[in-house]
Amino acid sequence: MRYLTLLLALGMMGCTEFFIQEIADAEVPFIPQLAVFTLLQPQDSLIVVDVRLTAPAVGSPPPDRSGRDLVSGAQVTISDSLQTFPLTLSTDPLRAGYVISNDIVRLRAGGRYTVSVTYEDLTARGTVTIPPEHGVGEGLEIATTEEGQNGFAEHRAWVSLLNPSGEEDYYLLLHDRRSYRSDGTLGRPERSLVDWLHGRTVTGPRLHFLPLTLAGRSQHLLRICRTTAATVSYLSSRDMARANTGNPFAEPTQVSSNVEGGLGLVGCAQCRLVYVKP
Amino acid sequence: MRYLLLLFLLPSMLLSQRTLSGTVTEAGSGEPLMGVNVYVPATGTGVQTNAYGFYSLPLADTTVPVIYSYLGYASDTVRQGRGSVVDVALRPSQSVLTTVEVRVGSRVRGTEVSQLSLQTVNELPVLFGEKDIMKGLQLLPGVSNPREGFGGLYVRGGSPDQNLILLDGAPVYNAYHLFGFLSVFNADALQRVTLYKGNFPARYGGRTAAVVDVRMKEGNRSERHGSGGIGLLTSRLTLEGPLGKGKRASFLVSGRRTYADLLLGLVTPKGEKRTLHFYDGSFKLNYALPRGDRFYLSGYTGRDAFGSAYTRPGGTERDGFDWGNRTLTARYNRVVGERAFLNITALYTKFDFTVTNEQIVRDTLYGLEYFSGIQDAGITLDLDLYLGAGHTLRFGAVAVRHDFTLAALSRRELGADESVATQRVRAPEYALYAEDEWQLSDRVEINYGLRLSLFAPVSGPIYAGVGPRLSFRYRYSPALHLTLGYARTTQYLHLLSNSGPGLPTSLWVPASNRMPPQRGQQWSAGTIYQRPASPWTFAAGLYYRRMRDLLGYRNGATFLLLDVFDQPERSGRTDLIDNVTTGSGRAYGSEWSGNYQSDRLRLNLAYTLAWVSHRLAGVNAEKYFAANQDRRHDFTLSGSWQWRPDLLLTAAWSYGSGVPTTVPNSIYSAPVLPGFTNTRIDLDHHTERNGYRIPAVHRLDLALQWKRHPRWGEAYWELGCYNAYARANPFFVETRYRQDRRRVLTKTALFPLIPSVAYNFSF
Repeated sequence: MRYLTLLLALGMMGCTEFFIQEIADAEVPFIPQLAVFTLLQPQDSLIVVDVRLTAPAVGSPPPDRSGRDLVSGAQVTISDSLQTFPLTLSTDPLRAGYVISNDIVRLRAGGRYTVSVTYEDLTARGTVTIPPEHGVGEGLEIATTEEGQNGFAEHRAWVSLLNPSGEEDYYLLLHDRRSYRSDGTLGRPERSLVDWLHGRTVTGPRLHFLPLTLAGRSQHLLRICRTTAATVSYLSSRDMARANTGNPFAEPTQVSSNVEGGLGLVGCAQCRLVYVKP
Repeated sequence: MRYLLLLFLLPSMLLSQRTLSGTVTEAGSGEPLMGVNVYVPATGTGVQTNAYGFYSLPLADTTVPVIYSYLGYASDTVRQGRGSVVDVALRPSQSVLTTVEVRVGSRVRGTEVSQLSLQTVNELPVLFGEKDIMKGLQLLPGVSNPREGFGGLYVRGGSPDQNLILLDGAPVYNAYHLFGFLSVFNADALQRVTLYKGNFPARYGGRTAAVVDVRMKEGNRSERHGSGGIGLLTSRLTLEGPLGKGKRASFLVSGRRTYADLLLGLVTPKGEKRTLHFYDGSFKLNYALPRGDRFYLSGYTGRDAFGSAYTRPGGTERDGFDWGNRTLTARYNRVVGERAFLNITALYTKFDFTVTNEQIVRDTLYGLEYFSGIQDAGITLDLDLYLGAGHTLRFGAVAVRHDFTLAALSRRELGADESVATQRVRAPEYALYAEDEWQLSDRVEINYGLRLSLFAPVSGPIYAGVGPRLSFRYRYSPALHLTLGYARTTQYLHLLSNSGPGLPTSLWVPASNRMPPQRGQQWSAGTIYQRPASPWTFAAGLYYRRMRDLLGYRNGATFLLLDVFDQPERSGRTDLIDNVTTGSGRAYGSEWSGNYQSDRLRLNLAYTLAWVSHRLAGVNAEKYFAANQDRRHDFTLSGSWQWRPDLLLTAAWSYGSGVPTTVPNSIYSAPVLPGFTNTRIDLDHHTERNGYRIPAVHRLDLALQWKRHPRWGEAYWELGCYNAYARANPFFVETRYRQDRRRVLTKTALFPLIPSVAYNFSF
């Protein structure tokens, strides 16, 4: 009855379509750009670069320019101060993108790498310097807890680091989980991003990551990584953009980018690897 | 040096001249009248009453007639004989033609100051029929509203936080109910509303854009009266009258409450409980001491509550916003001799808000509570010296202690102890001012002054400000007046808010190293054309403002606490200061207005052509870009027609060109973890901030007032129609997907044609 009352009231005052209307002649300027993403890790065996094309935010983009599909036919290279290496397109559904083995590039601490992408008349490039190995994971402490009731237990790992004085320390915590198959062998690793931190003097003597859940019958590898300001900025702004979507009271969010001529992130992570058990 | 000299000469001046002084009040109610022209035709000199109705005028011959005149009141001519103190009571006029005399000796205040007619406010057709002074101010040239239906004020390109809103001298930090749709001021309890647009005199300070000085009625000293109304959203009641015998004291109490809860209940599903209400109340007591001294005590309290509670199998959840203001003002007036007026004010004001989120799942409480606010306690001293005809010197000192509660978080999880993290900052602010208002001749009048201020937080840097003010008026002819003005202002408080509607969750914070005080300068010129005995008045003005150390928002900034709720675990790591950036701004434009008033017809027309741009570090390549307030054209036409003695028709049509906003230009797909998983999310890319203008807004509001005369007093029914031709004015724009997966830009409108009915009464 109350809904009927409301609908009648709305109907009398116009109709429900009154409140949200399409702006028919909206002209939002659009310039196509390349969106490039990679996270270079010396500890990984493969370098993967994801390349997409932006699509207009308003209107119907051409089918090949939806903004969602991996761009094929792009020229992607990674270069250091001495050499340039071309990347090739991989169709592995889990690691789709332009790839090259790290055995060829040999990413190293302190190395400065530029990822360049050319597609049609568009170019984009991003540069990153991989942090030094020294001090990564300094003062690492990992505590595991078990919580639960009624026979159900949840294991969690709490990771913290020493926080060096200064303002320019950035960290990632990644979690590689491999489930045991029924035959006792390990399945493919599933990597997730647990947390990121900007270590500053004001945040205290230790930095605490968010806890992560350790599922049973799995192998857990933690990657405690030092990263760049651009990486943390990208991740923070991206999360904020997602939280603010559809919220008229929030400030429109610009996702951070360090890619010249395009969008995205050319980031890196210098990691210390630690296995943990529930 | 000049002031020192005047102080030395003052005693001899006081002794050497005879003086006529007194108070001008409204006959019947005894309310003091500010700005009454006290004019001596024989000498061509005159003076205006101050905020308490006091005047002082040196006269060589105290037997000559003196005219007391005020717009809307019947003039009075007094031959006072030998007496030196003359109190006058003016009666409200039924005919505007009696204002002819007023204009003979009146002093035009210029285009910088507007005194809002409360009668006009009561006649305006407004949303839900709720009378609101802020909606009345929005009809003035140079003033616009942030969004349709909202009561916030953009004055000459300034943001709402750059306006100093005073209630009986106490700042009101959040002057709105219902998220901004209605102001906290109950028009029935108000005596006067004055808006200073930028070039405010030296006695005002602390903000860079404008001053809205709201004064409550003092309470009828002769008879008990009441007024009130019953509307769709609220009901209100105001009572006033004398206290005790001898008419030395009077009181006023006023209250208002909404019943929006009932409307909300219609659309609330079972298992949910929603709260949406506000109340406010105010009071004023005044007492006339022997020897003409006066003591006033006034206060305000108001609160909004908005929340919901859900009951589901296994648990409950409760969310809520709760915010409110309190003010208390104690004031003592003393007439020193016959030519000095001393005013001492002690004030207290507090604004705070609380946001609550609680979940109880299987007897375990997960709670988050966030509260913040600002509290001021201070004292001001004002001394007006009436040196001669049309020559008034004002001195003053202000000391205010600000206490900021910047952010406090209370979390209760899994039965653990409650943890509270509170950050409090104390920051005293001091100011001294001197102001000289001088009618140099019958053509030239000048008001110049200086305000020195000091902001001294207990921890952090100390800031000082020097604020010269100048206002110059020249009467070219009896009909044509020219004005010039300059003001430099400093604002030590910042409001951290989103750029959309000013939510009550916005934080007031003190100036600091990373957020230095805002400073502003304004130049203005204006002209007023008003022929004696003509019902027409025209005004035009130009202004140019510069703003320095303006606060802006970094790309991606957010202050909305809902975002904290989305990720409560991150809230402790958020440094709000990281969200802001600073820069500069400029605003310029022209304002035009025309008024017509006859016995039965009143018309007001206002047009503003304006440009407002900001330049912020890290935003739009640090180039000037159109600010949120950049509304190019703002036009309003309002009027009322006394169709019959008991029927009044009112209408208001307004047009505002589109304001800039930020919309995404492109969309792209991004991996959740670059280079490893193929789980993806869609991201929007905004090429520039405020790169798109939302469509223009315009609407027509109508109202019909039907007056009745019951035995116990007067009453009128009001039938209103907001947005009479149902224009879908955009409240905001966003992108959405249609059913065919085409992404489109949409506008969301809040108010279709909304009829209203209200019953108002007075006795």
